[in-house]
Amino acid sequence: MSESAVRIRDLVVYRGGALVLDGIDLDVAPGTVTGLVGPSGSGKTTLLRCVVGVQKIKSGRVTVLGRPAGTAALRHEVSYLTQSPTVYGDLTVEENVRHFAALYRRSKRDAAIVIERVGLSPKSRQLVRKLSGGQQTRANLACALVAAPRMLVLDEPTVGQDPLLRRELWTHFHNIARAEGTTIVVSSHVMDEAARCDRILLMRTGKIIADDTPEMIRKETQTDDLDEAFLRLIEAPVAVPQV
Amino acid sequence: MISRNCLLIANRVLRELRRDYRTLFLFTMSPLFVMILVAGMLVETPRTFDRSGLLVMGLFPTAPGFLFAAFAIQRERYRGSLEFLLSGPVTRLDVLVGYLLAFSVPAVAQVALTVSVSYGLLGLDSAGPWWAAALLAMLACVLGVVLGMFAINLAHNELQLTKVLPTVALPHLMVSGLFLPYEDMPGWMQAAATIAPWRYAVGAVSELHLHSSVTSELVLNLSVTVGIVFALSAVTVGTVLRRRTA
Repeated sequence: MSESAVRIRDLVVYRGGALVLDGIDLDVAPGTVTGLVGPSGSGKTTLLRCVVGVQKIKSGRVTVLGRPAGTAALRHEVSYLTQSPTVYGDLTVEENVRHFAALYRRSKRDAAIVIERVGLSPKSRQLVRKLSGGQQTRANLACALVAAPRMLVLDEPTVGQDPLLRRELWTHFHNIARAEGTTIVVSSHVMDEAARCDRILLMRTGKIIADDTPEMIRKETQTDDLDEAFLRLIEAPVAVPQV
Repeated sequence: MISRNCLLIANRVLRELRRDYRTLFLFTMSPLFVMILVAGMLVETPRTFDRSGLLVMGLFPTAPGFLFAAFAIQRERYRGSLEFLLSGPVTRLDVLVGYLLAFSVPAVAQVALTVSVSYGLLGLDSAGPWWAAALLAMLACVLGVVLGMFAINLAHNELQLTKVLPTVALPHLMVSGLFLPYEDMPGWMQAAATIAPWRYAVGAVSELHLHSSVTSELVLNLSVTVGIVFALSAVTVGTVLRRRTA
């Protein structure tokens, strides 16, 4: 077994005086797709921010690809999609993606490919502020993908996207994980989507309350419906064996 | 200091500015408008115009630089794109220098326009050379840009910024020596004036108004202003543009 892509030990984070992450321990294997699921306010985004290295932490250790999270050397290797679009409204989709392509030393051709991938080719010459929210998220996703990093951290990338495109994007995530060995951590609050991951982490009030493959979670909670499994885990967190 | 990334950022900020043509128009034209108004007001008293006009021409560029840079950086920060940039291979210095370079381009146009119209058409006359006045105007604009970025420390969002700007700007104007010369201020006000970034720019204008040669006083005032620009830049990099947030 190769070294973990992400290794988190006893991570504690406070934001604005409130405890947000309460002693997280986690290892993520390289080249896998990990889904981070949980209700809003459970600490998903904060955990992702820790992996990216933009979060102040109280205590604990976060190691990404063998280095402390946020180290300068990692910034070519890790790409982060935030929940709200951070693309520039006054630029076109193409200009946005090319800007990030240039920062990560990728070509204009790479930019065109990822724009195609997120289904925005017909809109590539449009100003981002004229696009819908879902399209802006996709433009943003293209900016994160164009970096072709070894580690991709995605905060709710598929909210508001149509089902067909969602399926395509998930297939794409799996493809780059398999083919290029990219490690992907995705947060989502849709259980149905998380079912496509190699592994699901279920978060609640700053703790990971379940950590397993979708199949095992279904089996342990004795339901096929992951939403129902989620409820059972939350209602009886002690009864469920934790891995 | 000028890296590939900061040129890319400067290019992107310029592109954004170009799309936002209202901002660009106001940024380049506002000092000229003010100069024309001052010239109109003082058309009967050319000697007063020489003094006040020089003050306006040399100092006013701070205002648009301050306002537009503050809002641009605030937007970058608030939208989360600053975090996105800094989580990638971009340093905080890249961002700062990128913005400074980007705003310098329309600033050159702004100063060229204002200085040429003021000396050429409005009949402004100064003892000091025109190019020194242009240099000062340019410096005032850069000072405004850095001050604007620094001022973000005092605001969490754009709405707060609109409250912070006037409350900070007015007292600063008053202690800068624009209305009352530094020598005539009471002691406590002089102490405040010593750290007022604008004071040295105001001092430079007086020198330009009175002396035809480049005096040591002028050089000193300009150098201190440049020093303030660097100091504020350093603080801005350490505060506004920090990578890790709570």
